[in-house]
Amino acid sequence: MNLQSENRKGAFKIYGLVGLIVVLGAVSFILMAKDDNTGEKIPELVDFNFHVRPILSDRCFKCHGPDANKREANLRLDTEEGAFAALKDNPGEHVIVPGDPLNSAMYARLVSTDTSELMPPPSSNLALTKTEIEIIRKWIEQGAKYKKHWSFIAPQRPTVPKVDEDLKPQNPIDNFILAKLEEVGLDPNPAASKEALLKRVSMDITGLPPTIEQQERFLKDESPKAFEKIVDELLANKHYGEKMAVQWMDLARYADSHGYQDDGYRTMWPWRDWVIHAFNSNYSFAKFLTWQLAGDLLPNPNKEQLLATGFNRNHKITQEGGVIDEEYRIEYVTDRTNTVGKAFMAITLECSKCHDHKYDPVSQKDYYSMFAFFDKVPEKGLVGDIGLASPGDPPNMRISTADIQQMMQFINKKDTADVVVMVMKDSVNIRPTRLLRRGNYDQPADTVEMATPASILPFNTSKYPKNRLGLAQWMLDPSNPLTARVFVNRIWNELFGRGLVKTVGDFGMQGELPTHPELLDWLAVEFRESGWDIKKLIRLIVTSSTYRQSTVRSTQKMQQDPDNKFYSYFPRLRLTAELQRDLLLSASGILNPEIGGPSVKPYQPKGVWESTTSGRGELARYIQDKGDKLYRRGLYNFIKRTAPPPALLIMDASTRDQCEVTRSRTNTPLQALVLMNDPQLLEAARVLAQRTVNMNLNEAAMLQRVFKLVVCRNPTEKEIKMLTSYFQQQKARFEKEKNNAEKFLKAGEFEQISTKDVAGTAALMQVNQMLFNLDETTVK
Amino acid sequence: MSRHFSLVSNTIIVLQVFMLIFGVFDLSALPEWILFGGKFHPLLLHLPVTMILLLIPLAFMANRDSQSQVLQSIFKYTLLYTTLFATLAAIGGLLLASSGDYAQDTLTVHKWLGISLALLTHLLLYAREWIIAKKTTGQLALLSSAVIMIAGSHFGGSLTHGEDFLAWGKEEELATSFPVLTDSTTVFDGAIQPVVAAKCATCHNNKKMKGGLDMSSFAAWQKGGKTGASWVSGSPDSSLLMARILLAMDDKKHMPPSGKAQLTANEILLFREWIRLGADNQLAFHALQDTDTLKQLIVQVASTGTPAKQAKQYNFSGASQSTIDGLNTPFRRILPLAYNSPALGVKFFLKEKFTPDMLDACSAIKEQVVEVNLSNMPADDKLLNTMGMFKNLEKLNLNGTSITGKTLGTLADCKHLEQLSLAGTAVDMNALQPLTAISSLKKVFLWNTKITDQDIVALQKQYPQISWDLGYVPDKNELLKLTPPYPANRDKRILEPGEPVTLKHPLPGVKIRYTLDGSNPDTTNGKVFEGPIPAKGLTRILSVATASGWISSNISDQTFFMKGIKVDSVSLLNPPDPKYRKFGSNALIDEIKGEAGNFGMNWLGFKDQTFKAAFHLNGTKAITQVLLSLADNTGSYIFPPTQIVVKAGNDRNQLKVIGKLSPEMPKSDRSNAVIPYLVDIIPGNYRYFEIEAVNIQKLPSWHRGKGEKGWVFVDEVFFY
Amino acid sequence: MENQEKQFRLNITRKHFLTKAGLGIGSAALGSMLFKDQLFGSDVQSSMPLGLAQFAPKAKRIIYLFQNGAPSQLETFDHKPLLNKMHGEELPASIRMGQRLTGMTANQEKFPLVGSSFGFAQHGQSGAWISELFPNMASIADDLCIIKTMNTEAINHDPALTFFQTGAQQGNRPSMGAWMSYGLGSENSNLPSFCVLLSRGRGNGQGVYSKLWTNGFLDSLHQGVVFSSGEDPVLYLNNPEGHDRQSRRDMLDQLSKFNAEAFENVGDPEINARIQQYEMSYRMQSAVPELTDLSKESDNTIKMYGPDCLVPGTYAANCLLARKLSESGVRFVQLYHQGWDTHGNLANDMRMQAEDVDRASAGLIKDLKQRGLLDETLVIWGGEFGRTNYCQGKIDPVNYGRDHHPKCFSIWMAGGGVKPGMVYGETDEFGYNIVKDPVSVHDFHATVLHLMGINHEQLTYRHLGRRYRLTDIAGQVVNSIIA
Repeated sequence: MNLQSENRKGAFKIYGLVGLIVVLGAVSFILMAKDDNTGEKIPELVDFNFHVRPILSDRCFKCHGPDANKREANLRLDTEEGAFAALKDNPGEHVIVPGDPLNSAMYARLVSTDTSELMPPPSSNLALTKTEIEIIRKWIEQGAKYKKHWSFIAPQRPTVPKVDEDLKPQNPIDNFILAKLEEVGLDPNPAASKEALLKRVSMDITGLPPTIEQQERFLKDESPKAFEKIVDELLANKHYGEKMAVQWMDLARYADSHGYQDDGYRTMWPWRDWVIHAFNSNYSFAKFLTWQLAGDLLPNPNKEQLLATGFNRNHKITQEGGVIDEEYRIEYVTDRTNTVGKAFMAITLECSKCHDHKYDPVSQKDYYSMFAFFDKVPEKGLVGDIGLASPGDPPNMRISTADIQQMMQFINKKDTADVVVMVMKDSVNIRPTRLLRRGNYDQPADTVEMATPASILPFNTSKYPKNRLGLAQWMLDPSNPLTARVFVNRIWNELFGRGLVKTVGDFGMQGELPTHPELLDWLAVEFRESGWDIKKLIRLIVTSSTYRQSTVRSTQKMQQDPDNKFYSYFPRLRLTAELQRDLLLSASGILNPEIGGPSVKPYQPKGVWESTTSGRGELARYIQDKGDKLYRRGLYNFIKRTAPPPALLIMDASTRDQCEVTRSRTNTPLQALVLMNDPQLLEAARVLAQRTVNMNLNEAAMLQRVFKLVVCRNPTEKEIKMLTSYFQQQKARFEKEKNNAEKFLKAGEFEQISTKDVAGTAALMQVNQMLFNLDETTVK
Repeated sequence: MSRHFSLVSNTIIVLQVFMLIFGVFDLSALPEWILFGGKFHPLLLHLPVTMILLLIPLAFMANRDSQSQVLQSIFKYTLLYTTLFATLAAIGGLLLASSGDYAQDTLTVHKWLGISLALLTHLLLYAREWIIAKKTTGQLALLSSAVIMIAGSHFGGSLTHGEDFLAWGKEEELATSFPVLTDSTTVFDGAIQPVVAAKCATCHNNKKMKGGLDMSSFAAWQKGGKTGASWVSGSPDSSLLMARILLAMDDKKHMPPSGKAQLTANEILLFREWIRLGADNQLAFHALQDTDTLKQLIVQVASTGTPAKQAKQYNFSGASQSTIDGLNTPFRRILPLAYNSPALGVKFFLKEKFTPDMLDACSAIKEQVVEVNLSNMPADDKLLNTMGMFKNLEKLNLNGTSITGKTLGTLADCKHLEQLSLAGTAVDMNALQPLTAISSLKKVFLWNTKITDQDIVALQKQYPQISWDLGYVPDKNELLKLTPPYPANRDKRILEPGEPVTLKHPLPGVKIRYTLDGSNPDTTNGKVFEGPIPAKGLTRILSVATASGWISSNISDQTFFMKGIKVDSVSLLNPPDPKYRKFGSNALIDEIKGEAGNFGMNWLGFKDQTFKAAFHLNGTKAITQVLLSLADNTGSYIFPPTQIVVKAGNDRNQLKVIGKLSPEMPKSDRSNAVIPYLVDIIPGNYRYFEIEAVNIQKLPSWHRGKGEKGWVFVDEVFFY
Repeated sequence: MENQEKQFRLNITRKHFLTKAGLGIGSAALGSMLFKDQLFGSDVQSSMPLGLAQFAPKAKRIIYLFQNGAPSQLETFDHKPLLNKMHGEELPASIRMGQRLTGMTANQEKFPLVGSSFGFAQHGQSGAWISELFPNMASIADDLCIIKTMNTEAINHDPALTFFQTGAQQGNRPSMGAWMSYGLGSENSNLPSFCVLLSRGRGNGQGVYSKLWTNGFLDSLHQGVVFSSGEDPVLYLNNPEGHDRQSRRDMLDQLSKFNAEAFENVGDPEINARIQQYEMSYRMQSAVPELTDLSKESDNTIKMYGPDCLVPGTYAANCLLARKLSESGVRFVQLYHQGWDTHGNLANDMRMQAEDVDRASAGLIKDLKQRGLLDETLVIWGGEFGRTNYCQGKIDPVNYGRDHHPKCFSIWMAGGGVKPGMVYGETDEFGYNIVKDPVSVHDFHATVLHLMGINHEQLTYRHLGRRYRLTDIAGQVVNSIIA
């Protein structure tokens, strides 16, 4: 009795507490909820390719994958047979019992608490996360269906999704993009301003900023196809080839020196001239690929076709006296094999050089079968030490002035002497290709025949010849799942700063999955069926409304689409090293538009070559060029591999050491220093200032002009105000410090243009320099 | 008493609400310290387990004799606390579970059983009269809770396998741990077994006999596995164990398998030696000679601990990251000594940005700071007054600060101070006195202070517990050689017309003497350098640096070329050797000097034919001298030309000889050099020149290439 | 200002880690102690936190005095009297055991053994044998841990150097310094965390190349920054003519005004990051000259490193600069000194090389020690491989040469948690093979990382579908040399 009443009293007190608890509960709820956002969700229907394989590949294949030598407990999880098989020590049990996780040994091992049972073993530090384990569980529950890796299935043209016409899709690309955006509940950005668009598209197609004339013309042109007109104009521009060449040179590891320790001079630049030419004359990708891979094997090849094969000779070559010839010859063949794998197939073949590939169905035998295609070259690992080093080790071709006049006008040869270029050549019976144990040149094993990984597409010898030409045909075969996808993805990556497959160089199982698989396939098929027409592909993409979007990021988009994988806005991408230079030189009017020719040596800080060299060879010291050679486009900058141009390197340019398909985009203080103190840019700022001052414009007009040239748009009222005040501040300063003004204006070797108002000129130069450093200037 | 009851029962309600929340949400986001509570789960859970069992008889007795208040309240309170502990246990469990290392399904079952048990007991608490009243049903209710409890604990049991629950934070990798070696320990227990346990037995044990091998005990191991016995006593080389261990890493049969922890070189040798000595599990440690390899190995192997264990433990807790972030700037960097370590180090950068308050601001982390580095900051004596706040300070670096040491006394509060760096400060003996009071102090660094070596001797004598380090004191008797002087503009070898040469030496107070006549300068010979030295067409400066207390430098031999009369064009009349013509005829007038030793660059080399070139000036010019810059490297067969002939005139078809020179030939090998040859010619006005330098046709007999042709290398030609 | 700095640091680090190491690790490095999940990041990119040592490190900084060209172990630290006894006799085939030879001696018919022409003596408590060429190093014998059993796979300079610096003979892998910078971040954000100093001796030189300090596939943030002896100690550091701190400041302020404007309009966080990089470069402009100015060095310092230390670009000057950089929180200072490639003329070249490096190398150790920094700074001295015990070319009474030898060579380490006064490992009496405690290049890397508080198996970076390590797939920490 009294017990109960006592309780009620107690119960009263409780209400307060309960209130408090509810609050606490709410708090912790928010806490958890917040945390949940960061964790991935588990999909309704688990897909093998998109959800499961990435996990298996990353955590399990190392020991239970394609690599037979490393396979543990002789269990493989990369194939259905392997995974559904009974355990060999315990036939009663099965690794995976479709539909029944709890009876699948695999699942048991994933969740085991016995560290000796647990998989992956703790020591491997590959532990699965809770979510991943749950995905596996659900997948098994849903029947554990295996699928072939997406990129090994030849693309079919998918149907274009319907979307709301109000969103104004310009072409099918937009349908795919918009459909996805709708799915994730995002709206596309409105089109960018005409000015922004013009800068973007010219930097993307020609790599040069629009002239003031172009800017004004485009702004005036109200016609609906105004943008398309500009695009066509740009694609026809001869600088298009240069822009396209840059990424191809990275990928082909082009350089002007041989690359190992005593880094001798080489003359591969005519090959580079050819690449520019090929893009400008819009060679089909089929032709582009075939000539580079196998120009020498075409029926009675002409010199141009031979020249193209230089692609496979751009690798490094040693001149270190005393190296073992075969060791390095193998290196060169390896480099070719890996480069072709990465460049055209986006498969990390190199991983299977020493052992079967751990993740992709590429065996060591497959590797050396590919290797065989490039192994028949009559070459030596070491031609001679630096004393004897030649600019072109055999096999090579001489290009005479006559050759150029007859059929290769695109080669910009300066003097009468022949130029020697390294090219490919097969001596069919020169040597059998052997599989090399652990990839060591001195451990040859069985002989292998030329072939390609069957898992991708078998090499049908009745269909293609057994040589590089056959390889090229194999790559261009409509049923080859990779070639077209890889190339369109690379172009897309170049334009959007992110591929539809983010890992541009790896379409394998460790690579990322496409964000828009259907779009990728559609583009691939479209590209192939267009006759591999590159300009057409680019035109298609840049005229899409996806490409034309503005760069504005709403907070919603910042949260839902931070890395822009849905393309809900256009990314602000920093210009690559070469383009940054090109933009500023061209804006200042000192760019030398000459195309091709031997690479040039512009300004470079003292000692970059001198402090690294052994003191041997003709590249021991950097002898800077003079005159208009100083103002060539960035891609003509002489690349000595052992000491690449620092200004470019600091801006993330490739070292050209090996095939590179993407450059990183970093942000470092050294970059700031280059943009602020590189004499080349100071000189540009100076010349621009001197010329502008001599146009006798009023202050506002003057500032407006330089702004338009450098930033490629009209300044806002506010910006003009800011510019003016800065200009006046600096002018005042330089009037006080005349000698500083003069010192400042000495920058560079470009002829001095005298101006009446020294302080004013210096001040304008200062303004230009500031504009050069604007974030907006350095992004496309 | 009744307060007591309601207080506890309220607490229970609060806790159960939490329990439910925790049950529903993922807790992994909670702070480390809360989650730590989870570690007590295994303790708590035993209480309700026993108490529930206790309740059954209690209830039985209680309703037997329903009048006994005592029994009633015993039952009541037991039930009360059962509920409390059940709830606590549940919460602990939930926290523990969130560490996520448990089989999910088993966990879920266990979780909800646990929770429902807590709820049920709570229910019973309110229904206790009813239980006691309703005989059977009441008992049933109790029994059911007992059942739940048993089931729950069953699943719980299957979840936990005696891991080390009270270890703070993340579990460390399984590391070899060795027992203390006494003489009685057998080699097997002392060294072999621990290695096996750590690196083999995880797969070869009685539960899981990979390859049918069980290494968990000597007896079992002796039996061997499918493929046979592990060892052949006395002959390691024919033992399967060794064979497997020594297989190549990427061999499938290699043991331990790749990815697993591997045996160290010494551990392998250890097995080897042990088998060699008969693989005897009775073999005692003391039976071994100290010189015995096995013994040495054991000592070595057994003495290597795992890194994580070596880390010094601190008993204070870490500062919040936000506090640390708040204090971190580019000028004051605060870093934990290591990941997860509560101890912090503070370091200051950029003189110009340093202000005393930057140290005061660290009071927020004064407990955690164990290292302060103020080296080279403009920190003065006042600053030290705040230093005392760092109670756990171990290392203090004041090198190069502007302290005088007046206030070092304040460091007495730093009871853990071990190391103090005062190098390059103005501290003196008196300043050091107070330091001797700091018992923890081990090292004091005094280089470049007012402290003398006698002082140090005294200090060391008086306070031997501290090591007083005076650092490097130059030896009075040791004289060092000065570096030679060098031209102010180091890499400029070709001077503008009229440009003088300035010599430099980095060491202040050094006297530079030089000669222009090729004679060696020394402390007596040669001019003392006072100002720029005027240069002629060819200027060779020999210079030497001297200073008291130093040995005079080697002689520096510098040759300078002055730009001559501009040459319009040059053409080679004989082709250079194909290997050395890359730079073309222009190399001769490009005003870029070649370097001795690198003939690949800027040089033209001639062997089969003589060097012969024609030079055209623009218009006739008055010329008195011609200067050829040639390489000299007997080792590479590069000799001076036997003869240099200069022809000139104003009609290019009628040139006459206006100068000749026959250089002296070397008598023995000599090292690389660039040697200029100045040819005096018949002065006059000339426009066209033809210059020939004849390479030696037969190398002298002393040379290893005797009889062969020698080379001539030319890099530049000047006209004055 | 400071507040702004802090804000940026977070931005950068966050951006950097988000893009490079994935959320989990990133926030761990930021040390967000609140969320457990994030601490033990669910991302397995790398199972260690970036920006901090994993466990209590023995060393905080490294100075690597790389003797480029490979100094002979037989004239430095590996005393082999037998070679003098057998001077001129043929190398027994039983010893050579088919070791592959470089192209330079491969076709030599004879392999006559040559003894060192320099005397050896024992020094210090440890009684370490040190050649008479290195009196100053000998004087600090008890601070050194000499490893006589280093061995490598490469037999030529380029691959051997590349292997030592990047853990692989070929390819463009990140160098040691870049890995450190990536794993441990920088102590002093006003300086690069990985600096490179180059010098050339008077002996036969072998060049260096940017691949040796490359960031490989890591962010170029981790690239080694070369300090040159020229007027610009760091490339592009100096303001243009006619400019001073103030006018540069004005420009930066102007710049951030404009950029801030842009940020308002497009809201791209990269813009803030950019602004902050400019601030950092501005600070670097005052941080670097503070260090590179050698004019204020005390007389004692000059005597300690030798008078060369005042001549920019010499090995001695680089040693001194290395100490200053390290003292100011640079994680990894990498020196390269050319001239050790003694195929011929060894006696002469070795003497000149020794003259140039002996005093300064020892001076550096003494200097660190007397500042109380040696215990937290790891100093490494050594080349890329050893040299043959037989003569290259004809043996000549006064002179001889040695070819490349990968199977054993000597390096030393000092400070930073290695056992002082220790000689580790034994080679056979011919100085050709290792008989006890071999240390491979991978072991060396593993050990160095360990001393810096990093488990070499866990410092990984995912690139082209594979996790890369400095130690590739090998490497054992050499526990016995750890104090």
